[in-house]
Amino acid sequence: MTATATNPANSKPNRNTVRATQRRELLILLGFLAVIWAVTTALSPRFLTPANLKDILIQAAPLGFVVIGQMIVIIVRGLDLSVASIMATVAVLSTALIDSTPVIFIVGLLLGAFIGAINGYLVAYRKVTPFLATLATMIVLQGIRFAYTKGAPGGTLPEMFRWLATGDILGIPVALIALAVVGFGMHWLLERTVFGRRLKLYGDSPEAAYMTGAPTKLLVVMAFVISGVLAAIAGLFLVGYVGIVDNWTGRGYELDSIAAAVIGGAALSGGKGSVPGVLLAALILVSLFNIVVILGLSIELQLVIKGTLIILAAAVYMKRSQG
Amino acid sequence: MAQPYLAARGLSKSFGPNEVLKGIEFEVHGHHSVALCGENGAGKSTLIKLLTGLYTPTGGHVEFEGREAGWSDPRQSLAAGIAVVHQEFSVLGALSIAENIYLGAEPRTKMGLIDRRALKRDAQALLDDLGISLNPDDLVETLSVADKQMVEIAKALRVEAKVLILDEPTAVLSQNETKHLFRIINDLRERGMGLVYVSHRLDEIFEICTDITVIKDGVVTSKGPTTDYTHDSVIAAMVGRELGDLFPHKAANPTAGEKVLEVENLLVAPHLPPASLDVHAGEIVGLAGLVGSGRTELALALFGAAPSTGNVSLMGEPMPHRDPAGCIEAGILMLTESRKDDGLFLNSSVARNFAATTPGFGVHHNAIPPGHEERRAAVLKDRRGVVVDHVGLPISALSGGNQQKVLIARLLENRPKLLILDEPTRGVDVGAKSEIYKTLRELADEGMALLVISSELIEIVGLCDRVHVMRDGELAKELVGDEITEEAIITVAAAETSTHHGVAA
Repeated sequence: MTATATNPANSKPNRNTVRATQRRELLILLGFLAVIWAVTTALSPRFLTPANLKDILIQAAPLGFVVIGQMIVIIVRGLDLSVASIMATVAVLSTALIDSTPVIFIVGLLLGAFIGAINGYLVAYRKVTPFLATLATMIVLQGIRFAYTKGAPGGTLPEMFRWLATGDILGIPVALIALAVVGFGMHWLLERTVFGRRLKLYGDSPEAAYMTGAPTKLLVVMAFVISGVLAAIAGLFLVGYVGIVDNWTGRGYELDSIAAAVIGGAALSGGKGSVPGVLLAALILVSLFNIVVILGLSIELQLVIKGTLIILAAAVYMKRSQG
Repeated sequence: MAQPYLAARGLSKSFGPNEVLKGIEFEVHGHHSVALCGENGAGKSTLIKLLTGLYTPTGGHVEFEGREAGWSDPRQSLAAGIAVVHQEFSVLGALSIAENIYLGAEPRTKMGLIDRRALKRDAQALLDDLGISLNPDDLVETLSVADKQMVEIAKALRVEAKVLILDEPTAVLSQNETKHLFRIINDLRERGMGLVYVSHRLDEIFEICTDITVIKDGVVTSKGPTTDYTHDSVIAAMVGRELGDLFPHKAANPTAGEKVLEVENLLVAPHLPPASLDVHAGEIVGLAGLVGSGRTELALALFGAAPSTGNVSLMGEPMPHRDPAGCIEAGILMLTESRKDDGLFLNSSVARNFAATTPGFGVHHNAIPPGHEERRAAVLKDRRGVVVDHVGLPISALSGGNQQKVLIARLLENRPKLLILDEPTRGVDVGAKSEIYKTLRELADEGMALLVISSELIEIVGLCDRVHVMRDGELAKELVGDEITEEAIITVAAAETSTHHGVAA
């Protein structure tokens, strides 16, 4: 086995390997982020300050959680439109019912997992298309939320809860540390475990995955469960950061997370996506928002840029998959 | 002889590095019907696609009435008078016969609307002319397979055609229906049309064709008037090589090993008869039969990928509830018929494809070390003779033969007791074929039980120790040893059953 490590045919770098292609895609994203940061720095002295960068990173954290989950679902050829609704529902219900921060988190994550399992069940076992299944879940959750709060959620957040979302340890925001832990964990799950291999293979070809013995239904359910749990975490961090629980917490995250996943290299046709890629893309999206504010540009411009980016990314990846 | 209507002059076609046709010379004259013979993959359908302008040749040209045709679109050849009836039906069930016949070329009124009266009248005239007794107003979905075929032919002949190409038209027809088709074909020929007839059934070729052209491995190996040929000489030209060159030795005593697979009364579908068979260690058992005879369905049922009832045991252990994952675990592995549909992970690397049935190559359990997959894949690649620069490349970069070797290699990683192979050499060049045969025989010699499905008779005859011939979902006959000949298989596979004919699954 060790003899082949020195096999010249394989030690020779090859530009066209699957991995080399992924590495190039990451470099393009990194380069793009560097360019927009550099341009903004040149235009405004207020951008590249520790305080502003920390802001960007803290703001990017909730989207970071969601986009990892979204990517996992996209890898198995799905789509999760319910993530924003999960964020708000988990935040509203768990903070209203419980005072203890650890218990809020435990209950919140379980709730997210439960909702994700319902999505996954509908898609894997009832053959509902992911778009419709998660759209329905999104609407049902919205109804439950409004019925429970009667339109006006209340309740105060525990002190520790606020600290988790806004505080820091040795100058590093807690939210970022949490995202880093989750990010490493998910990256490891995806790249180094049999489960992760199966997820990607399933996305590449569900039929071939079935014929090679993959537990296909379980994989799909687990992908949605992961997305639900990560959305729950994101919802809790987001309300902690904003300081108030709102029925519309996380509004827009479903589309932003899909956008970030696609820009970050996840293909809607399945089987493709990496944690570093989608996190970079999330950072790019949040940076753009910050830049628009810093430069005093109109807020609508942000939407134009976001849309353009999606098209650009899609075009780049399409070209890649053909060439 | 007069100038041919349609001819191929030194026609060649390559797909990438694969040369599929080499310098083909082929003529279709009026008042003649030419049989185009060859094994699967010999290049018959490629030739038809070139003749009709669906493909552009990489060498030589197509000649129509003595002039270079230069078609780049099937519509141009159709306009010139080349009609084709394809193996797969193109009729639309929800439309009437008349609408199907004139689809896209409907007669118009002055207002530009479809002239329904003219449509019906023209369709009726065309059907009458061809001697087809069908009502043009009937919906196509209510028709039998044979009648749909007639509609296809009428559709092809709605324009004044000089040449009619029929690609395996009788594959789904019963004997009576075939007779009717032959009357139409003979009638068209007598009227002066030139016909090209593609079929595997030699009897039919000798019955209705005036000439024969045989293609093997992309080259015309023989052609001439039918009267110059016998069944054997056509087969010899199709096969064109000694079996011994391509195939390894056979098992001396095939059923001597212990019973690995035992199947009793397996019901794949309620209307089909139950199937019983067994496969011993050390032998290669073939499942032969026409396309649609139920071979693949049986294999999928064994592998648990399709529902079935009945008793299946592996090494004496009953396996009542089977699914692919459980079968793989127990030691039944299957190579599927269509690599691209349910075999390959086309966007994944060669290494990952190698590892698909054993993700991470069975490293216990998680935490697959970085590079482990590539290192194992590199070993396997060398052992199985897969030609690729780097195992990190996407599997789509490999040739069909190399892809197939990867798929077989990954099944072997699970140490199968029983290996089911559905069309193991489909879309694979001759060199890779013989390597695959050699590998399969080695596995049998090492004590594995193999069940091989193939549409290529030559492969069944050359490779298998025992053969079950299937017909209409039934294991019709078992052949052993010297009984295994192409003729014996065809006789059983294509025999007429009065009860259920036609409608292929």
